[in-house]
Amino acid sequence: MRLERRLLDYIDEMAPSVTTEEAIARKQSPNRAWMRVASAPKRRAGDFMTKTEESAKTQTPGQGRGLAWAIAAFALVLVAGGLYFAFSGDDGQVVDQTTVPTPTTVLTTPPNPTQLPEFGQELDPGVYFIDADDDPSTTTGITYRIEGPGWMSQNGPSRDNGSVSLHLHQVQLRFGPHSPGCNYPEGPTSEAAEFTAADLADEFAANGFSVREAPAPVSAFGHDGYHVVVEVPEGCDDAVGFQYNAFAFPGDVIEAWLFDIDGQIVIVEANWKTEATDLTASPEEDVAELRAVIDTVVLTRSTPSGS
Amino acid sequence: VQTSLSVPYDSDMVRPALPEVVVGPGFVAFVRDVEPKLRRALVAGFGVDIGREATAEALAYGWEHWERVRHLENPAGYLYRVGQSWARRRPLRRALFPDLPASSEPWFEPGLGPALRALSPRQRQAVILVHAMGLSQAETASMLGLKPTSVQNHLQRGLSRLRMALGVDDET
Repeated sequence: MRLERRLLDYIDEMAPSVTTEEAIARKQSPNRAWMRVASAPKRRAGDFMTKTEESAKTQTPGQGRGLAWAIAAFALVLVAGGLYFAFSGDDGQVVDQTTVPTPTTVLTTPPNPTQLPEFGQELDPGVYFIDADDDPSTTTGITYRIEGPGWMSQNGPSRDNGSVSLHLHQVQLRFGPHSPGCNYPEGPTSEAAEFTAADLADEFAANGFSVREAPAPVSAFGHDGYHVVVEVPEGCDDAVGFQYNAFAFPGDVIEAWLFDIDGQIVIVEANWKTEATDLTASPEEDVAELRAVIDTVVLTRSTPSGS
Repeated sequence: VQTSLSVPYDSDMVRPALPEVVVGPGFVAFVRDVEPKLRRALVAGFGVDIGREATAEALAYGWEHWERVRHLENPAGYLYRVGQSWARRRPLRRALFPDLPASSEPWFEPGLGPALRALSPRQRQAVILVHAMGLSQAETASMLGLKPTSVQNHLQRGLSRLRMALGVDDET
């Protein structure tokens, strides 16, 4: 059998065709229920309702999805609860809910209205939220503001031409052992004990990337952390793999702000592209707009509800 | 420049399995046309698990935004970038190109998994789309957002490495 036929047989055997029904079902899966509740369609004045499962099932192409007010309501509950406990103690002791074991003790809640958009959603001007851990019971994440058109949600705001993007990650694992030298990690690595944002920033710089800006302490988004800028170099023919972002290609620039939050490393990551073998550089105006979005970022944090 | 793709995606050549009010006119035909290219390109780039999931996600996006996507000049390329953006944020769960299970049909080439793992993602995509599927280099470049000359380079290097890994010559 010829090579081309064998290749297609292998791929089709290992990754069978995706049917229309299967694709549509992804938008209607009960597993996405919380995402749908927290998602943000075109808002209507006074609309404070969350979408029901039943209405989602009757959705047709192009229709909006459920509103993202659950997260804002949850944040308001947190604020109200925090204020209550902070100022209503009858034993003379003030319970300061804002005291947290981080280098700086900034606790903010998302400005409202804050929307948690679903993947692929076009972003109207407004304030949006990225959940660091996809856990709706916590509000650790970032908010960012979109001022103009041309943005969509792809795990964070992305220019709709794909040229620039902003992301948030919460990681437990460090760089894979196969990553240096542009090799590809084939699976998860072991969890690293006592691994910090500073360690990960250093690994960024030692992972086979071209270092544009060396790791350095920074105060950003209301927290103290570390900052590093790297670029996937020419000649790095394979995708560079690392645990929280498995795929990057020559010409990709990664600017990362890394923070230690509640025992996790939280990374705010901006991406754009330089001229490289395969890629066309991101337009300067897109990079400038990305900078404007970054300037609006606020890192929020909370403890799980009930704790 | 956006041009209307009135044919074939506005046609009703294919009877949809779902009511058209749900699927949208022409979407089934679109999926039948684009899905193989999209899935194989994403699988070649991101592995069998993530690549297939990314395909489903991209098609779901296409369904949800069908009125806009159907009029794009290069809807397959657009959905590829949607799938790519989704795939790039997924943690790896297992080998990108696992060995075929022992229960596979006997005519499957057992060495293909390891051989594909030896190629870069771009090389795999060029080999799969151009060599195996017969797409032109220009079409492949358009879909993947690459320069045509890059596709040629990746194709040559990828085919060479693949044949070497499998121990086959140009004719097999």
